[in-house]
Amino acid sequence: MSILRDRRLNDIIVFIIAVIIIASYIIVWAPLRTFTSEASAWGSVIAGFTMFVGAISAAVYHVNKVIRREEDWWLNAYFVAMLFIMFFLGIGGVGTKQAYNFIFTNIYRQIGTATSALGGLFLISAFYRSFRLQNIEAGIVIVSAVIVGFTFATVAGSMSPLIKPMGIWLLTYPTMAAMRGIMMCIAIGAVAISLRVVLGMERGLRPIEEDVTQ
Amino acid sequence: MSGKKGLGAFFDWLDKMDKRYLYLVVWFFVILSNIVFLPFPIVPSPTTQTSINYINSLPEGSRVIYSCAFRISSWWSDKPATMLVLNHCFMNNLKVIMVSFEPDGPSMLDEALTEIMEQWPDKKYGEDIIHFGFFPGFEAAMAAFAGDINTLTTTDYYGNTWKDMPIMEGINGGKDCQLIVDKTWWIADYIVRQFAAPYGVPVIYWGGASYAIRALPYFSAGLVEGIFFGFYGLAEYESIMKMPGIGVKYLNTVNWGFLYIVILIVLGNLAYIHEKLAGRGE
Repeated sequence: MSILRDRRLNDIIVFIIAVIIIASYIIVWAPLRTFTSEASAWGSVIAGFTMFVGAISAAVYHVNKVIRREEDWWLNAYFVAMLFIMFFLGIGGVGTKQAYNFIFTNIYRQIGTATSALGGLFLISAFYRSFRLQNIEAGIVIVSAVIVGFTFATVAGSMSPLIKPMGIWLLTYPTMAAMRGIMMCIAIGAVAISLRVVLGMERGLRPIEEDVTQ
Repeated sequence: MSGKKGLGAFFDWLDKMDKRYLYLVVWFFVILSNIVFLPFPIVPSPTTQTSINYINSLPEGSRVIYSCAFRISSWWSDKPATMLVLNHCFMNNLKVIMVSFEPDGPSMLDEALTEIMEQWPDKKYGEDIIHFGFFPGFEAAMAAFAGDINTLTTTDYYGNTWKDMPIMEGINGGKDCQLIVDKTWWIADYIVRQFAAPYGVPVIYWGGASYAIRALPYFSAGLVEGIFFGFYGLAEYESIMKMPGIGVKYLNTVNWGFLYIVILIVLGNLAYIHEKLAGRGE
């Protein structure tokens, strides 16, 4: 079993799979493509399994809190109860689909929508407290934000025929130029991180004491 | 109290007031928007118009993937968007392959499927539309779906073998389809990386308005055929399709809401300028 505990095995697997997948985008050879497709499917299977492991881990964490009667333990109990109810309804059986859909539509959806809508209220408060003309840069941001906002709000059309074209221009030229720059930076950063992962140098994927970059 | 009078006292009160008053006014504007409709014309954005033109340009029988990567919290705007895309595809005799890369997706797509089949009784499941359900792993799942669906699943959401269905004739993966409409709450990068860049599948991206801005460079580079900007895109889509619905209604709320935001920005800045001037005077 010691070989399975060896972190170098992880690094070797990651390196081999990464090199094959990268090669499949450069070399036109059917087996490489097939392997890439299969590897992606493995990724999906592993992701599904991690969701399951995550659910078990969350259940254990909350059950322990309930057993220890920690503060607000009834919220943990509620979480565990809902987790198991949705799990067993989701697995299926006679009449479970209707029950699952009922909870999904009438409880989960409403809570999700309400929680999401609360963000809008915080934004309103932020507009009042943050959008202040403290300097020229802030002024440019405020004016641009108002113009772009009005570009989509139809009320702008009645105020001035220039607002929509100005908003489109802002989106098409300055915004797109900035976005291109940001995306190029992100892409270069992603390549750098990918190389670190492939070469087994990424600190986040291994215990700190084994960090090979030191 | 600070002892100030007139405007000074008002701005002082504004600065120190409980922000829940601001929230209360939001409620007022939301209710007002449901009573008073501002009849302003909707002028479609170029990206919306291009998206619709692209769908219209597809030959009958083309296979369109409707990729759902949104969550239940946005179903209020995503459902009308989904219905609009499905209606548009059916009007043009296009075939729709529905798939979800978020766990909330299958139930929502199931609901949309049930409704669209009621609206179009002549369309048949398996011939004109198919629902694949959810695949975990997000981008890894997208890559597998684009390359070879068989590696992910041999059945659809309801357990039927998809290979036997007429709609999937000649289709091994997303790469064989003529368009993918990506309705998502994420950025366009993933779908572009897995469908447009390696296989050249045309992409129409429909994300939140703030994320959609990030897709503009892909649009200008030709990697994305069209973009819908959140529910502004929905309102524009409804307006062009002459199917006014909830998008147009929400845009009215946005109009009122945006007027309120402008009032807040103006008030906030007046308070700030007043405070600066008062500071100089002391």
